[in-house]
Amino acid sequence: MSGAIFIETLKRIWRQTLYWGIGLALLGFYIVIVIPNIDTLKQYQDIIGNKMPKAVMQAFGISDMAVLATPEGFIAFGFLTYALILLMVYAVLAGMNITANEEDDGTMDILLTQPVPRWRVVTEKYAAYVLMSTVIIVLSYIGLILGRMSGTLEFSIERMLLAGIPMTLAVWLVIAFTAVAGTFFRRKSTAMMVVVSFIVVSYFLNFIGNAASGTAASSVKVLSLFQYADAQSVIQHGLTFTSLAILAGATATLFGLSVWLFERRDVGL
Amino acid sequence: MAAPIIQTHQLSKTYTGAGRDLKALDNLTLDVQTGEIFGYLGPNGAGKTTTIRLLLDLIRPTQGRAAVFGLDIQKHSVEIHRRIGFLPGELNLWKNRTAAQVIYYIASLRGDIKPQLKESQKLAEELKFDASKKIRDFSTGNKRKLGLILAMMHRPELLILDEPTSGLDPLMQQTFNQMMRDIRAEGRTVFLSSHQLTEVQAICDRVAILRDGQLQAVQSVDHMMKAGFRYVDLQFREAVPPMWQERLESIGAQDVVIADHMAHFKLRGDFDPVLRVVTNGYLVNIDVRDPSLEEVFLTFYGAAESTTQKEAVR
Repeated sequence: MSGAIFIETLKRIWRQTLYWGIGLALLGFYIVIVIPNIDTLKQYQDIIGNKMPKAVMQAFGISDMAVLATPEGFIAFGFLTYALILLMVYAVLAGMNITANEEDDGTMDILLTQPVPRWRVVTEKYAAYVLMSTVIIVLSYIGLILGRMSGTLEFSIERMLLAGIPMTLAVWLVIAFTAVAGTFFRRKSTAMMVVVSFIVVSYFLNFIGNAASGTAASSVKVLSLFQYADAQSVIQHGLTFTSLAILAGATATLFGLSVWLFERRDVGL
Repeated sequence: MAAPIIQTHQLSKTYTGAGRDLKALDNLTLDVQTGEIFGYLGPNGAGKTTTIRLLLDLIRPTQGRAAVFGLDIQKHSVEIHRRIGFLPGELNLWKNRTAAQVIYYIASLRGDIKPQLKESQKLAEELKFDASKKIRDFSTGNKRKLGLILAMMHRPELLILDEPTSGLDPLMQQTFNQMMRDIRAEGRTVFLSSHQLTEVQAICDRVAILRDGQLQAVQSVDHMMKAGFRYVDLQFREAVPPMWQERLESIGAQDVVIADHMAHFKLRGDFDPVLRVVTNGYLVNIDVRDPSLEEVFLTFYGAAESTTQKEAVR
C-alpha cells in the first residue's frame, strides 16, 4: 500500500519529534521573554560590540552588530542560529534512520522483501522526516509567538517566518546529505563521521568567510551551507532567491543521489 | 512439466572487501519445481544465505542470472516479492513495536490487509503465539514464530525459509512440519535452507547440497537415502579375528571397526562377499541399517572433513 512506510515512520518518531519541538519552543520562548525591551538590546549591543573581538563575534554567528539592536536580529542570533545547529543534530539522526540504521539493525531485510520498490522506501522515509523536522520548526516558532504574547518585546512575526524558510531547507538538505552518506558507506560510523565533518567544515568555512570579509578569502563562504541559511542576513536583507534555489537544488540532488545509490547496491552485508 | 518456480543459471557472487575477494557462490545452476518442498543443505559459509539473498534481490550477482516464477529477479523484484513469503535466518524486527503492530505494518505494505490479518490470527493460534507483546520481550523461539506468521499470512505461492525451525521446541517443529506438508498439498512451494537434517528428511522432496559455494548434488530425498551404502553390524559368538579387518576392506567394506565380538563397517554393493569372508565364524546377529540423511550428507564432504562438518551440522 502506498504511504505505509511514511505512516509507520511517523508512528515511530512522533514522540521524539514532540520532545524536540517542545525543547526548541521553550528555548524560543525563553529568548523572547528574557529581553524586556529595545533599550536593553541596545545596551547589550554596546557591551558585546565594544568588548568582544570581531572574529569571536563572527564565530558565534554575529555578522553585523547593528542587527543585534533589533528584536528580530537578536532573536535570529540568540535563537535561530543555535536552533539551526540543534536542528542539524536532529537532521543527522533522521538521515541515518532513512537507510543506515535499518540496515544496521537488520530490519531492512524484511522491508525490502515486501512488494515495495527501493526508491519508495527512501522516498517515504525521507518525506516523513522532512515533515517531522518541519513540525519541530513550527513548534519552535509557536514558542517564539507565545513569548511575544506574554512579554513586552515586539517583533515582526513575518520577518521571523521568512528567516525560517532557508533554515528549514538547510535541515532538509542535511537529512538528504546524511541519507546519501548512509547509503554510500557500508559502515554507519563512517557515514556519521563524514556528515559531522561536512557540518563542522561548513560552519568554519562560513566563519572564515565572514572573518575575512573584504578579502579574497571571504569567497570560501559560498561553499558553506550556513551561508545560505543565515537567518540574520534574511532579517537584514530579506530572502534571496539564489540562496533558496541553491538550497532547494542541492537538497533535491542529494535526495535523488541517495535513491540512485540505494537502488544499485547490495543491502545488509 | 511446468516451468521451474526457481531457476538459476551460473549464478555467482563474489564479495569484495578488505583487499581480498571471497567467492561465496560459484556458478550455481539449479531448478526448483512448483509444488515441492526443496531442502537447501550446507554448513555455515557454504553459500545458502547468499543464494537466498540473491533470489530476493537484496544483493546483486557478480555473474549469471536467476528467475523466480519465470521473472528476472532484478527487473521484477517487486512482483516476485508480492508472491513470496520470506523468513530470514536471523530475524530482526522493530524492537519497540508489538508483534501485532509489526503484523499490521507488513500487511499494509502488501495491501489487502483484512485477509492477511485473519490468516495471521489463524497462524498465531496454530503456533500458540501471543501478538500483544513488544518484539524486544520475545524469546528466540517466539521471534521465529512471528517470522513464520509474517512469511505465511498472505498465503504466498513460494515460501523461502532460512533455517526456519532453529529455536523452535520439538512440538512446534512438528507443527511446522505439518504446516509445510499442508502448503505442499495446496500446490504451493517451499524452498528451505537448513542444518537440521532430520527436518529435511522429514518434509523435503528434494535436496541440494552446497559446499564452498558450489553445488555438490541435487537429488530426491528418497534417492539420496538409497545412497548406495548401508551400515552393517555383525555380532559373533567368539571374538572376531583381527585379520578380518583386512579381508573386509579387501572386498570394499569401509570404515571397518573390529571390537571384541562385533564387526562394524560401511558396505557398498552386494552382501555375498561379506558372508564369504566371515564363513568360519558363528554369526549371532546381523544388523543392516540405511544411513541417515546426515550420514549421506557427510559423505559429500569426504571422510577427512567428516568430524569438522559434523560439528557444523550440529
